[in-house]
Amino acid sequence: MTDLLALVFLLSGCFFIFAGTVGMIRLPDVYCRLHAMTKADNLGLLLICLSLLLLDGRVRIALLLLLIWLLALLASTVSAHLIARHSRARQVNERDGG
Amino acid sequence: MSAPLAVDVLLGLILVGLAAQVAIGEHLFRAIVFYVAFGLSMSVIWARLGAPDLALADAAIGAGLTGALMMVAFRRLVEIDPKQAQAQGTRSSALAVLIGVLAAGMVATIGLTALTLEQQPGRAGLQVMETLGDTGLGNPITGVLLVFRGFDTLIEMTVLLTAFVGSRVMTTRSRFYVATIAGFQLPLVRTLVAVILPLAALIAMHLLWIGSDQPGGAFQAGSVLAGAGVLLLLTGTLLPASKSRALVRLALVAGVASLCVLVLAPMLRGQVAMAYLGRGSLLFAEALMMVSIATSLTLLFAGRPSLKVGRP
Amino acid sequence: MTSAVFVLVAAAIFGLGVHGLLVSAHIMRKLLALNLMLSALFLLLIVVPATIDGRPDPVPQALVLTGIVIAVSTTAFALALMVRLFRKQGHASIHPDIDPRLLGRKAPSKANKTAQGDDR
Repeated sequence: MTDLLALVFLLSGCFFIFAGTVGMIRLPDVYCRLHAMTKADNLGLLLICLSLLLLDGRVRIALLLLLIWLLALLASTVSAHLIARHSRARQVNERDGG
Repeated sequence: MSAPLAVDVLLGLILVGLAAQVAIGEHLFRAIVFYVAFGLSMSVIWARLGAPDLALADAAIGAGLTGALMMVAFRRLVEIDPKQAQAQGTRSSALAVLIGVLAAGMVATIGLTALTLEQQPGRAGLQVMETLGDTGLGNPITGVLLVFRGFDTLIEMTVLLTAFVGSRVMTTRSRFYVATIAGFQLPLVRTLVAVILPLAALIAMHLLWIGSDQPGGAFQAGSVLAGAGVLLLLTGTLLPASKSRALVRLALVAGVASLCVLVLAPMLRGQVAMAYLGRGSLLFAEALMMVSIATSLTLLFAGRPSLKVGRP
Repeated sequence: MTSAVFVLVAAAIFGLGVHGLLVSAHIMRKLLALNLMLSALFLLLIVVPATIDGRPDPVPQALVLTGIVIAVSTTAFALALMVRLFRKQGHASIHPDIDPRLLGRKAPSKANKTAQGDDR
């Protein structure tokens, strides 16, 4: 039963990361791409961590996986904020792309 | 049997695709970014092959620090002359393609032939695994690095120090790009530094300590600390300084010095040079090596021989 | 069988690195290509030897770890050399006979044809 749930989590996590990557390639400008990269990728990473957590089962591994996700979240948050600030300072318009 | 093979083929295709983007891609900055992605994929391959120490080291040093060094160097070129920095100029010819194909064929022939011949484990490896219990270590790679082939590690630390001295000689004193991207005033950046710095120190100490028995060790710990150092330089918490300080110099030579102590101390006691002195001596050497690696790599990123604290 | 796949992958990456090294004029692209070649050889060094107790052979693994550190050291030194060279001669290429038009400069006239060679 847990294996099935882990499989579902794993597949949906992969789908979200794939969707984030597609968004990063296909969306028109940098602000939209930031949305895709941070939200979709972090959710996908969380789902993958949950599935690995279910597959392993030990508390220590579960805490380590959650720590990994939290660190990735922190890094992507700050990076996205800095990129958006930098683009805004360089007056990158929403319609211009870039 | 076929499912893992499909995963391996997929990993291999990803790796070759990324390498193609690095070697033949158009823009130089794109090539650098793809190289970082390539390094991280190599890290996945190392984990797949059952070499976690290499995965840690390649992710931190091979992908992260090399990518950071290249981006800073690229930025320095752009600061000097924006147009010439990105001038591409390729001398593509059929001969170059032929030589590339021949090189690939040579490596493939060597590798495949060696695969069909090499069915026995190497004698050195077997000897390491058999005598590992005598050293009291659990991690055979730490054993090879510091006990069985300690001279190689001594020379490696000397190479790192020499690279630092060489690049220190090369940096001029004029007009120099300082790699600070965002001021410390942003509360988000302040939070990032406040969270990452103690965590990096903790993880580095943990890697150093468990390196004796489990995957880890001085190089991985030193590169985690170097990553924290790069973060401090990027956020302006640390700034490059031209006047070199004694403490920084001590930190740089500590690694080589500690390994020299490991070489000479047994001779004072009447044993062979670099005879094994116990786990404590290894931990002492690894700790100083970690400090040395972190300082060298951070200073290579900074481009100046010393660091000073920025205004918080 | 998986080892054969990785040997072919390492060969392909090595070939791409050699090609990139020969083709590129910019020093940093040459450095990237050299790093590709190094990574390919590290992969070969781990994949080819037989495993001991299911884990890879520790001696080549330690050699590759040493190699990674040496790779980053030489790359850092080469980058410092490149920046210095760029500052001195104005472009990051070491080919004295490269066509200046590829680097965005003017075509060589008959008068200063010898000026191309004194980048040393």
